[in-house]
Amino acid sequence: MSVGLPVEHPAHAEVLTLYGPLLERLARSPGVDPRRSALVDEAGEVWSRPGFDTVLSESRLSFQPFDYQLATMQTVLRRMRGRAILADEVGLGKTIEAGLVLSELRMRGLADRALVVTPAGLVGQWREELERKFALPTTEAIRGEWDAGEDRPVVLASLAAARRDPLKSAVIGERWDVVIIDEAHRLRNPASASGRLARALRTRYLLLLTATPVENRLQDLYELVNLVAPGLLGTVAQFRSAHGTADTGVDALRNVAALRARTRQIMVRHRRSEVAVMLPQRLAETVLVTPCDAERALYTELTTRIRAEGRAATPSQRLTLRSLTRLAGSSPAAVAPTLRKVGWHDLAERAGAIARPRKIDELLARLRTHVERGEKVLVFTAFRHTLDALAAEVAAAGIPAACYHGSLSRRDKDTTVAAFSADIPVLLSTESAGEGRNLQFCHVMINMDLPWNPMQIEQRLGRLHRVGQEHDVLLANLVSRGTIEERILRVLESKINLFELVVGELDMILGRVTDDFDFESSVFTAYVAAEDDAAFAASLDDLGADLARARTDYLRTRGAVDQLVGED
Amino acid sequence: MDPGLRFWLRYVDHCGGLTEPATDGTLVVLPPSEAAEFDLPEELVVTSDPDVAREDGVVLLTTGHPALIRAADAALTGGDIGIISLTAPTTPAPTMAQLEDKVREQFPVEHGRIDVTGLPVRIDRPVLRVGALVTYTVSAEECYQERLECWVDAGSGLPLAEHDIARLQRASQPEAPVAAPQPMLAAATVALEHAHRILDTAANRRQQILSSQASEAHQQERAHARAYYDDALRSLERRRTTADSDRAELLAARAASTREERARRLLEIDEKYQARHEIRPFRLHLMLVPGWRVPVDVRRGPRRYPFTFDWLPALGAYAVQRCPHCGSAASLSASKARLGCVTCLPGAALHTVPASP
Repeated sequence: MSVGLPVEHPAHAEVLTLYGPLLERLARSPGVDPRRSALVDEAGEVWSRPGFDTVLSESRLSFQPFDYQLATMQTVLRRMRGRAILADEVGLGKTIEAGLVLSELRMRGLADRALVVTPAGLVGQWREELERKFALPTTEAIRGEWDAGEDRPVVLASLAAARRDPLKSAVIGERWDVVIIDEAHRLRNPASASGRLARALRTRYLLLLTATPVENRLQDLYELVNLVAPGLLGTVAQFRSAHGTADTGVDALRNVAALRARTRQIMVRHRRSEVAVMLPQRLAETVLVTPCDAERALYTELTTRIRAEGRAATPSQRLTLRSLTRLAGSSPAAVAPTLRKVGWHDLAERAGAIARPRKIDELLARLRTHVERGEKVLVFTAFRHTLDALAAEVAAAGIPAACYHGSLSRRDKDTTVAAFSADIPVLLSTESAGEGRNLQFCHVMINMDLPWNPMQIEQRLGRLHRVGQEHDVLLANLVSRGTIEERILRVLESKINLFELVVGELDMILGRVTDDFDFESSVFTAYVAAEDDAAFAASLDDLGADLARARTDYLRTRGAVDQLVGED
Repeated sequence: MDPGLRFWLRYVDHCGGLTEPATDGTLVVLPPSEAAEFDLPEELVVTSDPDVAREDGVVLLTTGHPALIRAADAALTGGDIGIISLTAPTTPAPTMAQLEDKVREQFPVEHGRIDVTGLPVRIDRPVLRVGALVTYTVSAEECYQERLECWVDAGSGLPLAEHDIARLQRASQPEAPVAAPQPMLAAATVALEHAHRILDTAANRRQQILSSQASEAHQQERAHARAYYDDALRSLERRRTTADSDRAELLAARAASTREERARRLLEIDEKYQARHEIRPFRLHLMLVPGWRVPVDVRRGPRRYPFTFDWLPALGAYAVQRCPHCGSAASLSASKARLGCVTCLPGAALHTVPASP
């Protein structure tokens, strides 16, 4: 006889209550519908919010994160319960780690109200990363408002805007699920506007991103840790008595092991030497092009006039003059329309008369060489007029090229990149374009003009010099002799070795010059203020010295952080 | 495509709506009732790409969107219930000699031997597949939802081993749907209790794992609260010892109320971290597995204990059996008085057999 429980065994009341409706339907049910089974399985997946030992968001990612990044996400969610300081060395992808945490929380319905506070220059980069890599919708908070659409976008705010009203009141008036603050070392001073903002934000999960959670003073670390885990390091008095006074440097602190043990409860730090992230080299070349007489005369006349006008100009006029200076450094075709707009028709005419600037000759020669070698080339310019002029010249030279710029529709952008990937050897592109596109199949870049903002140079490079790139990246900067760009490049190369920096280090250095350091604005101010070129050169030297100091300071800080939060 | 959106499109199809790939996403035509339910227009284009949604004005639907959650909830409430009757084997039953060899091999009997005594009889052995969603509440702030599933042999109430489940899933070639005979439903009802116990045990185990992640926070919060109140009480005590009698009385009363407050606070913290789970079943399959019931005698010397085993071709094995005396899944043992198992017969060697061969 078959032995089981007897059929008349009274099923437990709880079981009948729970399963009764299913049993009733089973009695009526003719059979299992495989389509319904599949639908219910998928519904279960959508409904599930498993423990954090299961990663839900991986299927939504448009890239493959590194193992250490996934491990960080799990550590933050499981052990640190969503409040952490992500302190990886620069270039290891703190943004990716924060995005993974955010994405995972979103998938679980735990992060409908998410705020990312970041330096102004990085808002666009965050938007790009969150949307393209994590498929998370974003919206930018401007003047105290943001578009809280039905798709619950992640709100992006620049630190500069968020620490002032009206945006400040708006963001501290909201109860957030997640707040991510990039470059969080700027929050260390609790009395600063940024520090006060961070302490006023109300959120369940908090991620602070910084490669340098401590700089010179031990108190820096205390302040940051206290934001994430109030009380973890005790009261200020307890902390000082255990480890050192407010001004104790990291090299003189006491009980390092105990402090490390505490900070590791809320801090993750990876170093380049610990993780297997290898990027190819960057091989940069500055190509000084001697302009023709007409070009040189135009540039000299134009910049002299700009310097003269600039001293008495209103802020908006100065902005126009700065723009003119940059356009002049790009190409005569780029500067001519703006010259006409400001009424400098004589110069506009002279610019229009320059048929082909020397930089284009150089570009065409280089393109031919690369194309003959079967290499793809990405040519960058900051200006649409330069792009159009380039497109005409390149076409006339019989070199197949595609054009990419911000005015193209998304579909046209896709088509253009696909064509470049397939059989077009050259892509002529403006600054804003190319973001988030996979262009790693190309490893040659030519800058037709040089952005004055070094971060833009870095971003251009980042299009090719990224994970997945298998060749050394060749970069040629075409610069006309005697231009402001030539001087800028000299400063950036000689003082901070711009092109040899690791991805992300530039931002660390620029952020150390002054709180709101703006390289482009500093250069223009120095140019206008200088009596002559020699004085301008001296000012740029001073600026370069500031950058060099910032670089030294950054390298020293990196060592201090390792001492405090690195491995034993 | 985002898995959430993929599910939603399938759900729309299931509800009688239409979906069709479009250039910028998927064109969807919703039945009016579903459009009202999801608060969406009857005709729309949806995507899971935020870039496409922003540039092309397409509706963004990704996991976490309320419309997807509502659809998932509706699909789960509808459940997945039914009977699967596996196709009967077309090959003839094994010979009696083969059946005897296999039963002796699979069920060694202490102090006894199994002899097949008659021709096998065709049967359908019921197996239950039960799926449930489990909500784990680890603390007042932490809640997880996971799925659990178990397959239970209704005859024995024992769970099936993974390899048997895999074989049954491969063998699922349902014949035309049949209504289950009443005895089968009754057996299913009883087996459900076993299934529920298995699910509940698994959920308890999982709950402990999930709670362990919160226990550090729990201990920390407790330690903070204790330190705070201990400090307050020490301060009150210090002041009381040097105070005059009226003031000392007042401070003593304050200390008493602080102790009460501490007890309340610690209780609150413990309640906040009280873990529990809730099971919500959504799947119930009754699978009828064709087989042969084999009559046997379990012999010890001249004593014979009649018994049966079910040979299931889909598993290539006999169904698991419980002890006829105590219901244990341990090895059978034949004593001079009765057939039992190594756990219920005195003097029998105690060793358990796996849940299934």
